[in-house]
Parts: sequence; structure tokens; C-alpha cells
Amino acid sequence: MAQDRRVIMRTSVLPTARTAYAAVPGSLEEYDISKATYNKNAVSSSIGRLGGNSTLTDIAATQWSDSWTSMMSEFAYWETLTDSTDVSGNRWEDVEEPWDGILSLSTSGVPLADDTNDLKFCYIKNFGNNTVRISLDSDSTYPLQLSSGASTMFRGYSSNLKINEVYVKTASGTSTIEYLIAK
Amino acid sequence: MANEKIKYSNGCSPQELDSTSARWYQDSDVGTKLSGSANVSMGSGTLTYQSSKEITSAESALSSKDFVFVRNISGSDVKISLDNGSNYLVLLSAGESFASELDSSVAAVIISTDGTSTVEYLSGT
Repeated sequence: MAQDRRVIMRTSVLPTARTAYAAVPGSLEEYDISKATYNKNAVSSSIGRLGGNSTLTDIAATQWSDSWTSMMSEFAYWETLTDSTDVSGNRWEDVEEPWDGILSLSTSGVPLADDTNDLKFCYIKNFGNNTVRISLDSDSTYPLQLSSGASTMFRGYSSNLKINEVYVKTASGTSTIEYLIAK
Repeated sequence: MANEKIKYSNGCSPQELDSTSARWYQDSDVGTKLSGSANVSMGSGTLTYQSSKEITSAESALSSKDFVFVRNISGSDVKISLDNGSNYLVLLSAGESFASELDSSVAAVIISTDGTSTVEYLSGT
């Protein structure tokens, strides 16, 4: 059992706009260094970089199950996996977490967990090539989405968001995610 | 402007206090820092940015967006609704940020507060 747990969070946003650059003339003795007119995305001068600061949030020292993270610790031994609770336990036949840390998804919504505690913190990263959608109301609507490689994280407000209300699926095809979902 | 893109990243580092309560370590269940990023194109190339603004009630400036970033700069807890104010599901304490792409079905994102808060937000369409 952990003494205490916390999560350091960091978000960074960089808005860019397509900017036209003038042609660059010139040459050296051995080769041409000129450039034709070109376009490149540059940081929006009116907005700049947003976020970037780190903040701390507390989560419960004792989580609802070892399945609060999709990862399996490299320090976990087979003999210590003694929670035989059906579905949410940590024995191989009971576990709901993927053993390699990666959860495969299809276009059918699946809950990340079946625990009913208030959600304190959730992090999801899309490892696949297809867009992943996230529901916060038990598979009813999917307001959040993640492009390939993207991640998002959020904390539940008051008692309005429960752990078992977070569902994930793909917009099309299949994908994979890693996640944390904590009380 | 046109062809606007937003590059965003979210990362977290879960930590665990050792049994003597002397020091925080990387969480032994997770065993790694986590992060992801993407560079997403905005459908119609429009960015809307609201710099530091004090709010005391619901702020309904974000409608039909592809991306949203909200930061609670200071003050009371901020709450975010992704369904036009019917349910507030996401919490931001002072200093915290939320950034995510949005599905086209999201009609409006509403930002509200439990008291008085100073926020900034960016949306892209």
C-alpha cells in the first residue's frame, strides 16, 4: 500500500498560423542558396505559447484497484498479485488492465473501469493511427477526441464524474491507448 | 490568416511517497512519466483567444470548436461543461489547464466558477 500519491501535470499549447516568406536570393561559389517564396507555420504572434506550467494534484494513496493504471509495474511479482475480485482484481483471469500497458480499442465503446468512486484524475494517450473518442457520460456522448499521438488529462468536478463513466472508442478502425484513471 | 494549426501536449508524472514519508518517487505502479502531443489543423482556420479575464458566472464563449484550451490562472475552482452547461464534469483548480480536441457534436463549451476566478482560454475552429 502506498503511503501517499500525487500527480504532476503539465499542459502546453502552441497556436501556429501559415505565414508566407519572401524569396531569398543569393548563391555561393559552389552552389545556389536561393529560395523561392515559401509558406511555413509560425507561432501566432498575437497569442504565443500557452500553458507550460506544472501543477500538482493529490490522488488517493490507496487506489480502487491495481487497474487504475494500464501499466504493470516492473517491480510487481506474480506472487503479490492476490486480488481475486472478479473483473477488477489483479490476477490474470480477473484483471481488466492490459498486461503490456496498452489497451486495444475498436468502434465499440468500452469503460476504462467499473469502479464507482468520484474521478480525481484521468490521463489518456492515443498510441494508434486512428482518432480516439472519449465519453464522460457512460457511452452516451463522446465530446473529446484524440488524434494519433495526442493525450489529454482532466479531473472530475465535485461528484459529477465517476470513474466508471469514462468510456473510450475509435472514430473508425482500431487504435490503442495507455491511461491512468484514479480516485 | 489561414491554415492555422495547434500543437498541444499533455503530460503527467505520477509520484508516490516512500514509507518513511521522506521523499517522493516515481509511482511504483506506473513506473514512467507519461506524455503525448499532436499538431492538429483547424477546420476553418480560426483561432479565438481570450487573455486573462475575471469571471463570476458561466462564460459561454466557446461554441462549435475543434479544440479548446482553458487555464484557471487564479481564484476559485473553475468547472467546465462540454454540453452547453447541462453538466459540469471537468475541474480546474488555480494554476491548472485543460486542453483537448473536441468532437464536432459539441455545441458549446461553458466555463464557470465556484466563486471568482481569472481564466484564459483559446479555441480553434
